[in-house]
Amino acid sequence: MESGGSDQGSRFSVERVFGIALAILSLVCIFNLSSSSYLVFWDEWGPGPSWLPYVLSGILLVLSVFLIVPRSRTTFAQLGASPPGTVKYIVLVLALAWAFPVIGGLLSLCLFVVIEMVWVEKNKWSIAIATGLISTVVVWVIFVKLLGVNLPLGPFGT
Amino acid sequence: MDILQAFINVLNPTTLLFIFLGVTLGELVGVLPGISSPAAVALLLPTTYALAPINGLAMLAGIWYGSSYGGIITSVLLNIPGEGDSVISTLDGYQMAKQGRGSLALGVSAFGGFIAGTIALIALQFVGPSVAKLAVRFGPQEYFGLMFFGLALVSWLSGKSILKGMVSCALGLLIGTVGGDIVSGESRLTFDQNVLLDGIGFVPVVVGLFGLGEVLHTVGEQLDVSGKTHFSFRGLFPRKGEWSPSIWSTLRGTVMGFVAGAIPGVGPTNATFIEYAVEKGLSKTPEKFGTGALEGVAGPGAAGHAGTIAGMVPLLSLGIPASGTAAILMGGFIIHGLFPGPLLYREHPDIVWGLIASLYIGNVMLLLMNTLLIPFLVWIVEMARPYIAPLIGVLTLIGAFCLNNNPFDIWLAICFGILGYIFRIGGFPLAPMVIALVLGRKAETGLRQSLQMSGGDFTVFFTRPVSAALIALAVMVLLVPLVSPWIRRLRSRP
Repeated sequence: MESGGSDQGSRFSVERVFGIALAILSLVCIFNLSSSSYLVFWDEWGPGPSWLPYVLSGILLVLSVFLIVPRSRTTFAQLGASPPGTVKYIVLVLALAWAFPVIGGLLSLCLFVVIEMVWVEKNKWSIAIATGLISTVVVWVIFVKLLGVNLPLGPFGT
Repeated sequence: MDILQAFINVLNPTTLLFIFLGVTLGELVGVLPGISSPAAVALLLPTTYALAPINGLAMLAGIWYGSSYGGIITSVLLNIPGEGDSVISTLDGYQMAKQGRGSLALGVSAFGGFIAGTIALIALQFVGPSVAKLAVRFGPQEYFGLMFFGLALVSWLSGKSILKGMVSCALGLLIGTVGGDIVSGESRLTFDQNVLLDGIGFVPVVVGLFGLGEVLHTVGEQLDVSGKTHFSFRGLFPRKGEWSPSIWSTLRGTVMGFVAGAIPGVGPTNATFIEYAVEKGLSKTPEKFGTGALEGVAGPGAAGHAGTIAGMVPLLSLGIPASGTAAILMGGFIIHGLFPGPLLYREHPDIVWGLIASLYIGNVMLLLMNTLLIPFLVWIVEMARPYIAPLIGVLTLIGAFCLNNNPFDIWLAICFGILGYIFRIGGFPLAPMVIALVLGRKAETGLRQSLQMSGGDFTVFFTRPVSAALIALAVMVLLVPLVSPWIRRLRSRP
C-alpha cells in the first residue's frame, strides 16, 4: 500500500492526522450504535439495521491503523504552504453561513463576494462592490425569481 | 421510442437552450483551471430541480463532456490543463503551439473530438440497451455483486493508493447509512439530531466536497498565462499529409477511450494516458513524442472524449457510476425521481433517448465552439480567474440551502468542503466516496434482501454464477494489491 511522499517515519503527516481523526470517528460511531439499544445487529431474518454501520465503522477503524502506523508519508512541509487564501476563505465561508439566516440571504452573499474579492483576491474596492452587486442581482434572478427559492430575509428585507 | 423520436422531442427552443447552456458552461469550466467538471456539475445540480428532467439532465451532461473539449485549448495554447483528461495534451500540444502549429493541434482536437464523440454515441446507442436487457434478469445477489465489484474497482483505480481509495469508499458508505434504516425505518447514527433523520443530503455533500473543497485548494493562487501563443483560424485544418496519421490516431483513441471509459474507476483521464503510450508504441518515430507529434494530440484527445461518453453506459444501463462526475449526474436523476439502471430504458425511454439525442446535438455545438470561439475562450481564462472563488462560494452555499431551505445544509456543505480540501492535500481520491454515497443504499438493499431470502446465510451470494464471479473478482481486486508486497517480500527471502 503505497502513499505519496517520502519522509520516512515523520511524526506529523497528513495521513497520520487524518488516520487519527478517522479512528476517533469510527469509535464514536461504534459507541453510538452500541448505546442505541433499539437497533438490532442480527435477527432471525439476517442482518439488522445496525449491522452495516457496525461493519463499516470496524473497517474504517482497521484502515485508520494502516494510516497511523509509520510509513513513507506526505508531510505537511512536503505539501508546501497552503494556498495563501485558504484560511481566510474558510473564515469568510463560516461567517457567511452564520450571517445567512441572520442578516438575510442576498445581503450576506453580496457582503461575502465584496469582502472575499478585497481580502483574499486583493482586488480594488470599486471592482469588488460592482462584482458583489452584479452577482447579487444574478442570484436574485436565477434562484429567487426563476427557481422560486425562499432565501431568508433579514432586518433590511434582503 | 427511438432516437429519431427523441430528436424530435429535444429539438425545441427550451431544451436546445439548456443543451447550449450546458456545453458552454462545460467549455468554460474546461478552460478555467481551478474548477473541474465534477465541481461544476455539483454546483449546478441544485438549479435543475425546478426544471423539466430532460432539460436539467441535458444541461448537466453538457457540462460534463463540454469540459473535456475546453481543457485541451488551454493545454495547447497556455500549457495549463483545465481538466485531468487534457493534461497529456500539454506534452505535444504545447510544443506544437511553440512551433507555431498550435492552431493545427486545436483543429485536430476539435475535429477528432467530434468524430470520437459521434462514434462513441453510436456505440452507446447500441451497447447501452443490450447491457440493460442483460441486467434486467439480475436478482438482489447479482445487484449486490455488481455494486461491490464497481466499488472495489473504483477504490483500486481512482487514486495512487488502494488504502486511500478504500478509506474514501468506506467513509462514503458509512455516511450513506446515516438516517432511517431502509427496512425498519429506525434511525441510525443520527446522534439524536432531528435534522439527520432523513440522512445526510447528497447535494450538500457534493457541493462541499467538489465545489468548496476545490476552491479551498486553489484560492489565492496566481495563474501564469505568460505562455500565450499565436492562434489563427486558417491553421486549424491539417494539410495533405497530416490527415492520415491523425485520423488513425483518432480512431484508435476512440476505441481505447470507449473501452476504458466504461470501466468504473478507469475513466477518460487514464484512457488518455494509456492511448498516449499506445500511440508512442505504434509510431515509427517515437522520438518525436514530447516534441510536437500530431498523433500525441489526436489519439489522447479522442480517447478523452470517447471515454467521457462511455461513462454513460454503466450509468444508464446498470445504475453504476464509473466516475465522480457520473455519480453526481446520477444524483441529478434521483432528484427527479428517476433511478438509472436497466429499468430506466423501459420505464423512461423518453429520458434515456432524449439524453442521448442531446449529447449528439451538444457534440455539434462543441465542434462549432472549438473552432470559432477559441480566442474568446482564451480571453476568458485571463479575465475570469479572480471571480471564480467568490462565485463558487456563493453557488456552494445557496446550492446547499435551496433544495430543503434548511440552513443546516449550509453547515454540512462547509464541513464536507473542509473534508474535500483535506482529501486533496492528502491524496485521497474523492470519486470512491461520492460513488459509495450514491450506491450505498442500493447495495445495502441488495445485501439485506439476499440475506433475508437465505435466513442470514452468506453462501447465498455463491449460489448464482454471476454474483459469485463478481464478488470473487471484487475480493481479488481489493486483496491482490494489499497482499502482493508481502508475497514479494517472502519470495525475495533466501
